[in-house]
Amino acid sequence: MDQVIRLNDIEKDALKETANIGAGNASSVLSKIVNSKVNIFISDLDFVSIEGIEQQIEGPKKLVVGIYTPISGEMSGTIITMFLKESALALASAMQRRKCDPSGTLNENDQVALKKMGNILADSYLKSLGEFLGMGLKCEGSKIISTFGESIIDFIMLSIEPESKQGLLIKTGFDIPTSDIKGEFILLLTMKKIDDVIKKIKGKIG
Amino acid sequence: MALDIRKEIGANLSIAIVIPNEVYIKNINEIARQLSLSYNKICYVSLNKLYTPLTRALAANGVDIRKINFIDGITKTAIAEPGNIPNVAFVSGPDKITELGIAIQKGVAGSSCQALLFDSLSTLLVYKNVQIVKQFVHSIVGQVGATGCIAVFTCLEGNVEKDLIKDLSMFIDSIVHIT
Repeated sequence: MDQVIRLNDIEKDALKETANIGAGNASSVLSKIVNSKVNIFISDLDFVSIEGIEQQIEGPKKLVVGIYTPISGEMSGTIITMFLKESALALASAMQRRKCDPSGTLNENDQVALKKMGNILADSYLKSLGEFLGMGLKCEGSKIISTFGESIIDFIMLSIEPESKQGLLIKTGFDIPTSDIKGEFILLLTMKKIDDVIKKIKGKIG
Repeated sequence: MALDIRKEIGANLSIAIVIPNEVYIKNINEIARQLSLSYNKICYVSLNKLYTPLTRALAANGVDIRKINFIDGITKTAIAEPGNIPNVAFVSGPDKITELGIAIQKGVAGSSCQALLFDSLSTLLVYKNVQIVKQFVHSIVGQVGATGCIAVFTCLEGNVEKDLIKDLSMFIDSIVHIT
């Protein structure tokens, strides 16, 4: 296994701050849509080895609904926003300003609402990260998936370039306290020459 | 593991296995393994795991995947064009139950499958209500049973599932609860 490049605390803080700006933007937009306070917090951010990535991303041992967003541009990657079914239903209902039936089903309108939310989160993050890294990053259309939480890693790996050895992993939690909605946002960015990304981060700090 | 799938099936043509969340992956792999030891041709309907990682996991668990015809209702939700793979029928999504029903009918009858493994009813319940899922299962049980193929449905433990299981017992021969 290749040695994973580590960021020092200052570099990590700078990157985290950038991710926080993205999270803040996403939080504001989402908050307006659901007309409620949205808390977003970065739970993990680091460069990771792709070979051991399964240990870094562990979904719950439950059925989850996800918004899968492939990333293209100068880096490849994936964004997955993941919820338990009850939270997905509650969020979709909140976005459509209607009462949620917790034992209901995810209909076409709900799926459209969740895709919209996935695009908002992805755009907010990618814009901030792209500007920070000086790279063009864009999200392809979001898609709704459902899978067992432990299999979420399979989707994350779908858009990863085969030669990639390392990636930038950002895990973000969010919740809407008034609606008991909780979710997790996982972003994995990779490129063949991750050194270039490290150089750009170090250049920003140095 | 305590489950003996051959014994549970016995003389039944259809069974539903209710599995706790915490042990679902372990059990679904084991059910597939035991079915592959007992039958020469199996139709595996996957609504939960992408085709490539699924076959990798099954092979690693000792399942002879050459015995399996896959009906994949999940990969196309992420990859629009998964390509043509022998023995795999890709369905547009887990919510496309008409397409799924046709694929199962073709998959079972077309290749003389002896066992159908449906993974899982809980995924259908994300998109369709209990009544629709019940009708779907009823239809599949009838179609598959007519060919002499046994049908094994899996389901997670849960409140919505509880309502479904209660109704399924009217036309599924046996309901097995894994503890």
